[in-house]
Amino acid sequence: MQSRRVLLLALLFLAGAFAVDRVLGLLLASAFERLETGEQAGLANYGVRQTDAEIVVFGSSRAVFHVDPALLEEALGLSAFNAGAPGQGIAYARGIQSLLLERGSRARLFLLQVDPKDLWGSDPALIQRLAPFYGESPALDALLESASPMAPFKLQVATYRYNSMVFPMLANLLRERPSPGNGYRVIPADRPQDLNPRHEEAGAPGPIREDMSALFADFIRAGRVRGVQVALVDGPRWTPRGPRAIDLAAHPHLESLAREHGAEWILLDASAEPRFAESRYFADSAHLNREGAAIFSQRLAERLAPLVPGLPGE
Amino acid sequence: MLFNSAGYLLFFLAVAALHFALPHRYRWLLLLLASYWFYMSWNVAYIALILVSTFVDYFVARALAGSRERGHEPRRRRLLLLTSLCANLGLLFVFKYWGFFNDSMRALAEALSLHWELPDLDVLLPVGISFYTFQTLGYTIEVYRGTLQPERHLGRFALYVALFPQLVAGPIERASRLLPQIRAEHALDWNRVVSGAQLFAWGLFKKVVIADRVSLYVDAVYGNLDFHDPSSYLLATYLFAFQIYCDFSGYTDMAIGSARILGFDLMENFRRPYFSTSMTEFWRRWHISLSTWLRDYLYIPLGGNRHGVAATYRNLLVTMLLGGLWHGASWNFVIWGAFHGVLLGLSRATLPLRDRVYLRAGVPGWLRDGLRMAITFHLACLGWVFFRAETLADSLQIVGGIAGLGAAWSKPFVDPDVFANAGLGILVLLCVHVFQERIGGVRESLTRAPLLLRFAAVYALLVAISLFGVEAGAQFIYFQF
Repeated sequence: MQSRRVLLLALLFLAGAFAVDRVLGLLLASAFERLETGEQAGLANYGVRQTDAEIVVFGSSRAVFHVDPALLEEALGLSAFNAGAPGQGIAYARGIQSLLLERGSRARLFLLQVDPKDLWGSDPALIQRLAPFYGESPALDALLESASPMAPFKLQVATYRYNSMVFPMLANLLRERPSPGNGYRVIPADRPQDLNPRHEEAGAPGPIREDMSALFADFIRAGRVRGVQVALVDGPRWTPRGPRAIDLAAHPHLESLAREHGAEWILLDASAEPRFAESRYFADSAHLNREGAAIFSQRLAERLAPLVPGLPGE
Repeated sequence: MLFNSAGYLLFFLAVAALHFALPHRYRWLLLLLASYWFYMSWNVAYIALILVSTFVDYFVARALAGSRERGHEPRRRRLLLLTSLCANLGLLFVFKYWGFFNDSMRALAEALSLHWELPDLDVLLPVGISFYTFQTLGYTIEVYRGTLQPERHLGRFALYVALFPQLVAGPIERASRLLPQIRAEHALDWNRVVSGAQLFAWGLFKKVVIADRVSLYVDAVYGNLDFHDPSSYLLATYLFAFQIYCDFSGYTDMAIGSARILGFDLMENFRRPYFSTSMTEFWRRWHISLSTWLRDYLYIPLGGNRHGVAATYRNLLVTMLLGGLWHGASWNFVIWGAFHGVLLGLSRATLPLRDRVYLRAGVPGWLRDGLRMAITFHLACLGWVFFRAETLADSLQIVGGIAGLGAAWSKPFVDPDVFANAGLGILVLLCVHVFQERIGGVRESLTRAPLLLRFAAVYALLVAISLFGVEAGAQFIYFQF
């Protein structure tokens, strides 16, 4: 008799836990849906809604601060959006790309500002920012589930998909913030220039990881299968002591990946644009300032023009 | 295999299910194999150290009892005890202290223009070595004293040494408490299961919502002192006080909770230490299993307070110095231990004077206790600087900075993400602790509450872990000891 009561209580507890999780999950999803600002939550939400953009830019802060969609639009006559996110890498880019494609993106060109170190691995926790979209795209689901052996089970918990996001979401809901616009941002002019070359002395940490390389290949294939042109680009860094070892190891690999899967490889550093050998175009050793970004975007548009059918220069 | 991992949850559920499915006579074997598996998930080879400790103390204890029964000379028993001490402390010395000893001797020799050339041992510190060596030493000392009969069953004794919930970070159990529980048959008791699961969830909350979140800030400041100013040092030190407490007591709660479900009652290890009104009280509430171990097997054998004032203070200092060194092989831990030894002496010496001052000033009791609590908390925080800082130079930079001897104070570094998430956790922790201090046990009160409220409390805890817990949390701090 007692064990029957215990069993009943246990079932009641589990049913209650399930209900609480689902109800809270719905509330959080509804709050998340309203967000369009804030790097922790809204930026991704805003990005995946840009299904009308014909050029979509992906990447980390070096995409956000370097590629001005307005200049691409002006030069190429196509609508453009910068879906880059500071601190993020190929996994996040692949996640956003898959969501855009699932939502019927009209993109004609996907432009990925690569981060060479992604070829050697990335923090699986970073992709967690896209967990609220779990269930929307098989490619994103696979990425989220690969974070840890238990991730597929954890992701069944609705509240877990908003782990560490509640306060950033609240802050963004309560505070008026400027809209991300076309996603491009400028490093504030009043920020002191930091050109410490030590920050850019990364060496190549052993052999390239096959799974990470496959992620780049997936990114290209996913676009090409849908008839979207794909370009991998790497921009300049302030490296007065010569190119970084990590770049020397990564660039040939990325170039051959691009060629193999039908994408374009664009290296737009000081070897391609002499002005990038001047420190005055840099805000810090990894990022261009406003003037540098304008030069970069214009030069990039010139290189992209032949890629998209119907564009001048094709 | 960390308690705050899904892997542990699966492991534990499987072990618990098998434990209750098996007849009593086989359960020790299941738990022993599970405990060894659990330990080997860190390092397979180091299971050999546990086996050495187990065999040495099993046979030494049997020999001690035999020697007593046969009426041999006490000298023979002392030799046997010495064998156990040398084996256990020898392992501890080689695997934990050799590097520190060698470095210190090299530095001393260099200062004296002498030559010291002994090789460094490139070995990893075995997880939990300080805990299980102290546990097994305590057993042998009790048998030597004649206050405990040795365990005849080697398997059950091995399980006493290695029982997985408390193997890697305590509580350091006494054989007189744990061995009878290992021998006894435990039926599946749903009240124990519920109570153990609640305690486990509470420990998990402390670990992943508070300790792991706060560590993001503490590590950022303590790891980059030159990039931060004294106001951040102070904030990081306050937060570290919560981190170390929530990390260790969170681990302990999960250990006690796991053991309770299996039918074992482990000893209480923390009793809201930051509510202490003196350092003496602090050590009655902080890491109770270690402080009582040190009291029973070190402080009292040294003479305790039986040989006059000076000897008492000396014994306190020696005990705390060794207690500090127990934590880790570095001068920072020695200083931390010495600091607490001095504070315990001062606390004892000045108590009558402080009482008189409060009395004459007409300070009401609640205010006096509040002031004492605040002072004790700040003294503990001062000690935590030495405990947490990487080097002695870093500790001095932090203490000097906070004292105004270094860079000027400015606005502290604030990480809104850490402060919001951990702040909520700390608020909940303080509310629970105030309730426990003023009214009594939260879980005991919950058992008398309506079912809906009981469920709601657990749901709140689980939702908080799911929403605010740090996903890829760090290892428990005390695992390194």
